[in-house]
Order: sequence, then C-alpha cells, then structure tokens
Amino acid sequence: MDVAEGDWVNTSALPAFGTRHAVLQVQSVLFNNTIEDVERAVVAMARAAELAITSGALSRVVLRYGDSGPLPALDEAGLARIRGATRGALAVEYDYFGANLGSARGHNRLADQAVEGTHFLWVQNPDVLVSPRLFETVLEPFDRAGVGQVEAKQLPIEHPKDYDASTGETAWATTACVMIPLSLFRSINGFDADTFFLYCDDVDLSFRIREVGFRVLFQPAAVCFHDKRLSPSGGWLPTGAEHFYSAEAGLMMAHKWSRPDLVDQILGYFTKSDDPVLRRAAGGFLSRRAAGTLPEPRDPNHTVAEFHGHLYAKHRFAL
Amino acid sequence: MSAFEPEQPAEQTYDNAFMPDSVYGHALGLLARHRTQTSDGALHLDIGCGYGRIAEPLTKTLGLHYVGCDDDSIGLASLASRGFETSRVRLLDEDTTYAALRAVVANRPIASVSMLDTLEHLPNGMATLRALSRLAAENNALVVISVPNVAHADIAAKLLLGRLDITDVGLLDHTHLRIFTAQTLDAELRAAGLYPFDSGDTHKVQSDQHFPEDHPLLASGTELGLLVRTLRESADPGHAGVFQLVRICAPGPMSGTVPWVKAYENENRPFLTIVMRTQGRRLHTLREALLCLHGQTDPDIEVLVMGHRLEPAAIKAVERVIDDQPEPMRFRTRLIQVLDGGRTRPLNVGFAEARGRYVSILDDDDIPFAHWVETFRKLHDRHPGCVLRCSGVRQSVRNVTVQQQLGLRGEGAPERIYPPTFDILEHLRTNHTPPVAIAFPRGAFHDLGLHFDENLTTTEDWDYLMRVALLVGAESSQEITSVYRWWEDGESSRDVHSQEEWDRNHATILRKMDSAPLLLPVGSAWRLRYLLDAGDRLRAVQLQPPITGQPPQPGDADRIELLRLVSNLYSSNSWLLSSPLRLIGRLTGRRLPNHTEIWSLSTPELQGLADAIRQTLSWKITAPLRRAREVVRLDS
Repeated sequence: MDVAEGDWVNTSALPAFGTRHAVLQVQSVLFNNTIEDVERAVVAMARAAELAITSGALSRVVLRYGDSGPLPALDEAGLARIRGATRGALAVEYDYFGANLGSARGHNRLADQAVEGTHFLWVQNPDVLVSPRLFETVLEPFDRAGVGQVEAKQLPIEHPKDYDASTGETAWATTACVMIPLSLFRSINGFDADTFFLYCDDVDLSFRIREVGFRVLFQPAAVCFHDKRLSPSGGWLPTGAEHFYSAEAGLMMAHKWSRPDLVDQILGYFTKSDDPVLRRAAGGFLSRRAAGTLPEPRDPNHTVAEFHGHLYAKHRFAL
Repeated sequence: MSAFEPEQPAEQTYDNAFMPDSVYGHALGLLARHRTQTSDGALHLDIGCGYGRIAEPLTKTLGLHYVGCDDDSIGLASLASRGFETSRVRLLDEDTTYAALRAVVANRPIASVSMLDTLEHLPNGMATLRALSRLAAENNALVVISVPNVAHADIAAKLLLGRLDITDVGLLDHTHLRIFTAQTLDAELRAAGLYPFDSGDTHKVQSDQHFPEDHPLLASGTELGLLVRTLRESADPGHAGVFQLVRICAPGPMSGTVPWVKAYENENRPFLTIVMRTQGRRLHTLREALLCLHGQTDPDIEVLVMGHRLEPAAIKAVERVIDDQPEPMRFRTRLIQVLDGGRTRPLNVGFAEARGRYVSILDDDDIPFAHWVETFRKLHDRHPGCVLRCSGVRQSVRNVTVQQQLGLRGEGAPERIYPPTFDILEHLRTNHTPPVAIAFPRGAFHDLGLHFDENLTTTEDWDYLMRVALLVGAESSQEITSVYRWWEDGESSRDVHSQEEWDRNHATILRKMDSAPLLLPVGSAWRLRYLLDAGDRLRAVQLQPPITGQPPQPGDADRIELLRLVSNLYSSNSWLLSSPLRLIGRLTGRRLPNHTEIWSLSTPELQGLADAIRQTLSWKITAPLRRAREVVRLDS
C-alpha cells in the first residue's frame, strides 16, 4: 500500500508497505569498483528483476549508481556495457558525485533522485550479487503491518548478528543488502550523513526505524553473495578504512544513543592506545564535541539501541 | 599374411593352424554367435586369407561357401588343393579393391567377410576397409576384423622405459605397417562405415614380447611392475593382456570424419567442472551454492547438477532453480539425472561427463568463496596435474523457517578444523580434507581410470582422494576458499549412516591402502625418519626401565625433561640447517652423541650436552633465524 509520510509516527496502527507491481529503486555507491564486479552484480540483479516482474511482485526497477570514487568507475562505454548486461530488465542511471560522499550521504542523494511512484529502495553494495528470487522473497514480509526493513543473508560469510529464528526480528540491518520502503526512509530523513560517513549509518538507520515502531527483519531465505574472505587463520579480514571508520562510528553511536558511559570507556581506550588509527578516531570525536557538532543524544531510556560490548546486537558467533 | 606362431613361413605368409582359442577360433565364434539366415550358396569372403586354415571349420559350422582372397600364391595354392575357391586379389585403393572383390563375388550373395591379421600389413588400410564396407552394405553382410594389440602390457611396459623390440613374428612383427589399440581400431572401423557390435579378443597375459624376463616392469616380483600393472588395469580394464583385437561389425554409413585425434581440439575445455550432487530435498541450499558459483572471480567453469533418484516433482523443482539462474550461469549448468546406485554413483557419472581440466565436488549445501576457482587455478599454474587442495572452514548450520520461508542459519563461527596444508601421511590414517576443498585432475578419472568405489557408502571422497593423490601428488594453498556446512539437525550423511557403517567403510579404505604399493612425494623419507625417531623417543621415555620393585626416583622427571629438551634441539630447524658447519668438528673427531645415543646418557650428561649444544658456533650463528621465527609466530 502507499503510505503517506509520517502517517504512522506516534500511532499504534502501523501500516503494511507491501504492494503488487511495486516500483523498486536499487541503489549502490561505487568507489573504485571494477567494471567486471559491477557487471557481474548487474547480471544477477537483472535476472532477479526479470523474475520479480514476471511474477507480479514488481512492475519496474531502476538501478541507480552513485560514484564517490576519485575517478569515474564508468565511462560512456562502461555504462553502455552495464546497460547491455541488464538485457532490458531494468533502467540504469549513473551519477558521478565528484567527491567522496561516503555511504550515508551517497545513499541519501540517490534516494532523493528516485522516480515518482517508487515504493521501495533496495540498498546494496555494488559488488553484491542477488539470488534470482531475492526480490520476491524480501518483499513478501512487507505484506504484514509494521515491517520496516528486510535484510537478506550474505554469503559466503553469514553476518553473525542474532535474529529470531521464526519471525526474523533483529536489532539492525546492514545496508550491504536491505529493502526499505521509500516513504519510511524519507519520513525519518534517511541516513544520518552528518554523523556517520562510512560505518554504523545502517545501524543508526535501523535503530531509528525501530524507534518509530517498525520491525527490522532478517530473512535467511533471501540470499546474496558478497565477496568477503577469511584470513588463513579463519578470522575476519577488516580493511584499513573499516578499522578507522568503525572506530569513529563506534564513538558516535555510543554518544547518539545515550551511552555516555560507553563514550568515556571507548575514549579512554582509544586515547591510550598505541594504535594511531584509534587515537585519530578519538581526536576527531573530541574535536566535534568541542565544536558542538555532535548529534543530539536520543533513546534516553535505552528501549531501542543495543550495545553488546562493541557490537549493536547479540551475535550468534564470533568472527 | 597371419603371423602369430613362430613357424617360419615362405614369403612372409604364415601357416597357422586353426585353434579354438586362436584368432581363427574367436572370429568363427563371433560369426556363429551372430549368424543370420542366409540363402543357399551364400559366400564367406576371407580377405588376406593366407593358408586359410579357418576354411574347413567355417564351412562346417556355418555352411557357407568359402572364398579365399590373397595376393600370395602359396597360401592360395594350399586352399585350392583342399578344394576351396580362391582368388588372387591385391588390396590397393578403395575403388580398385572394391571392383576386384565384386568381380570375385560375381553377383553371388555374401553372408560374411573376414580379414584377419591383415589390416596391419596394408599401406592404405582405410581404403580396404571402405571397400569392404561398401561390399558388406550391398549384401547386409557381417565383417570380422582382427589386428594385433600394440597396447599389450608387455609392449607398453618396455616402451615406458624406452625399449621397443621389433621381432620377426608376433605383436611387433617387422612386416607390420600400422599399429592399433582397441580405441584406434574401433575409430577407424566406424570411420569406414563398419560398426563393431561385439568382440572376441584373444588374450595372453605373457605375450611374445614378454622378454627379457628380468625386466623390472615385466618381472612379476617387483614393486614397480606391480604398480605399473595395477595402473594399467585401472586405466584400461580388460585390455592389458589382449593379444589380438577381434571385432565383428555391421555395415553402416561412413562417418566422413577422419579417425585421427586432433590434439588441439581437446584443449577447448573449461578449467573446472563442478559436480554437484542433489536429491532435490534442499533447494534453498542448492540456490545458495549456485549463487556462490555465479560470484566466482574466475568463471571458467561448467556445473553438472547430478539429480540423484529424483521424483518427478523434484526434477521440476531442480530444473526451475537452474532455469532461474542468470544467463551466464544457466548456460554453464546442466542437470544430469542418475536413476540408480548409492550416493557415490552420481560422482562417477558426473566425473565421466566432466569436460573440465579439473573436477571438483561441490555438494548442494557447500559454499565456495569468490576465489575458490581462482585459487585452484593458481595452484594449477604452479603444479599442473596434481590434486589441488585449498583450505576450508566448517560451520554449523540448521534449517529455520522465517516468515514461512525455509532458510539456513549459521549457528557457529567458521571453524578452522582442517589442517591448512595437505599431508599425505596424516591422510593415511583418516580424512582431513572436505571434498569441497579439492580439485581433481580430469586425467585421474579419464586416463588413469580411477573411479569412485561405489561399494563405499560413506567417506568415498577420502578413498578417492588418496588413490589419486598417491599417484599424482597434491599441492595445497592455505587460502580459505570454502565453507563445509555441518548440519545440526539431522540433514547430513553422518546422521543417515550408522557408526558401524562409518567404521566398516573406514576399515575398508585402510585395507585398500594397505594392499597397494605406496608412492610417496618428495620429502617423505625425512618425514618417515622423523616419525620413526619420534616413536623411538617416546618408547624410550615410556619404557625407561624402572628399577624393579622401586618407586620412581626423584630424578626421573628431570631426566625425561632433559631428554625432551635435547631431542627437540636435535630436531630443530636451526640444528638441521647448520649441520654443514659441524662437519669439520666431526671430521676431526670432535663429535656430540647422535640422536639415538642420547637415550643412554645420565641426567648430568644430558644437562652437559644441552649446554654444549647451545655453546656451539652453529647454534649461535643460527640465533637470528630463531628470533625471526619467534617474531613471525607472535605476529601470526
């Protein structure tokens, strides 16, 4: 159904966003991606769109790329190649930002460009491959009232955060692969790009969706492939950017979601750390605090946000 | 022209008697077995008949009118003297030969044709075969052909070591112009329009080429000979001892293609064939596995989905999953149904169908990482032809139904339970490698004839891995490239089969290993010495004779610790690498006790030895090596 922005805020009757023949915007922010990676993802997406349109779950799909890279990832020939890979199943739009907007601001800009009548946003990393029946599977729960986000399962490394094994309810959804009703997204002003650059923007978005009463679901039947690898010892391989931005975002999350005790704890650890990345993250936070540019803390009674050590949900296992 | 008995002929025509177990007997047996209703007076043409010793039994058994054809007058004279029709015929180009034979036949019906041990003497055998094919087709006649088998184990074994003995008579008669194996004979016959439908090969385990008796590959008592014979039997079952290849053919259309192999066409293969077994009961995991294959950074693959004993509804469901795939994956994927057999049958069928240069087993619940194929290829580039072994993790999973949809839920962290590298000796005891972590070279199945043992109901992959790796070797990468799912809710083979069954299969595999020669990779001698030494050390510690009736002495624990310390020093890389530095000391008589002598040293002597080792120049020089290793260890 079509829901006017803000209809549900402060009401107990939450809407269901599900609708047949929905219009979908798929959006991804590029950053130095190879055209081969993008093309492989587009081929997978086009097939999923084709199947979802045939089944009636969708009527139209627009794939919108933003590019935060120092150089455009797609020139005219590249764009033509990508459009060719869709086999006409979806329209492809490309916006070279000319600056690194990060994940949050980039996605906000792309969402602003959604065509009239768009019902849902599928937000994904540009190198994610969706499974053929993914769109139908993640749209189905929106037929029920109060569903605000549905996240797909990533392979080959499943995200370890916990979810209810029958309802799929979970604390937050990663924007590597998640479906959000556009009206809901706009209603809560999208990602908090002033606070988060690259990490935890998705956690914060989910918390705010839950803050207004909607449920965030994880659907393991919907799968997508995200090229992540393990170290030879079997551990997670974080990138350098992940190391810094997740440290910075950790401080922001604790502050924004009213956990000054955690802020102090993290700051204490970061400032005394031998790791320059952590000290830089602490310095950035303290500068913003001094400048008064930190976000207003919310959820004072801790009814939404979850903090489990440095995690924002209980995890089933450690990576 | 037959030349298989060492009776010296005149003009290279040999007079071989008819024997039931000779090529004559086998040819007649085939004709009798497949005899058709023929009109009175129908002919049997014997091309290259020589003395035609088949003539009498053939006319007696089949009631045909025998006509011997040859270019040699002595054999023909013999036949004529025995009352048979003969004709002098030269086998030249196709049309000339065909015309000559038609002239012999003179519009009489032909029931059958034989050309025994002649083809190998002809400079243009294909022309003769085509002429025979045309003649046979006009008469609906059967054709029996025989040639010597150049792939006899005796010839192959000697040739392997570079020896080829051309002989006066026999398998490698000096008058032969062509050589044949079962495969090449059948290919040439088909190309000429003669379709073999039965065979009556003659066998001699020890042929006329079985000399010299003490050749290491011919002598029955050698390990090497046993290994080669075992390999040959596996690669070419039933043909190692074939002496003459005998085929009965029906005429049919000439294929129009040459029977020669075009080697360059064989290279047009995908890098990897993925054999994926499914029973159609886990479509959700099948979808996951196919998605991960689409995500490969190296897409040079073909996917064979082996539908095993699928019910009609399951066939449709699996087909639907494949049809759902994006085009690049759909074109690379095909469903092959296997209607019978146990869980191992689909592997044999899939490997037989595989076109890839390597073949991997990826079950419908396995998960490859994006660089799964890429890592196999890197290994191949460094070590072509080996078993390629990557590293994998195991993850516990269970089915969950979320919002009425069946999905799979990881329940535990990916566990690094498999060793990072492949150790053949460790694998002699039990399996340490999940099938998803391996790529087998195609030749293991197609050229060595190594097939999965369908008598095994579990651990068939371990059995196969060992049989292949012990022959072609294995190379490994420490890269983690796959997730082996460990079902927590009764979905896996370990729940379907009893512990007794697992144990029985395990014991069977061990027995199979024990019954075959063992070909170990470079470096194994050192490993075996080390393991034997370790066993000795352990026994020495455990069996240190206690003083009868006396409780352990207070110093025993110290002595054992010192034994361990000295033993470890002797086994360390530093000590082994710096061995040349101690050469002068050894030459001048200044030597330390060797590894086995330390067990007889007293506790003070051991302490002195440990101190002495640490004071040696070689130990001091290698200190940086130990420090570097320590740093690496701490880092990792």
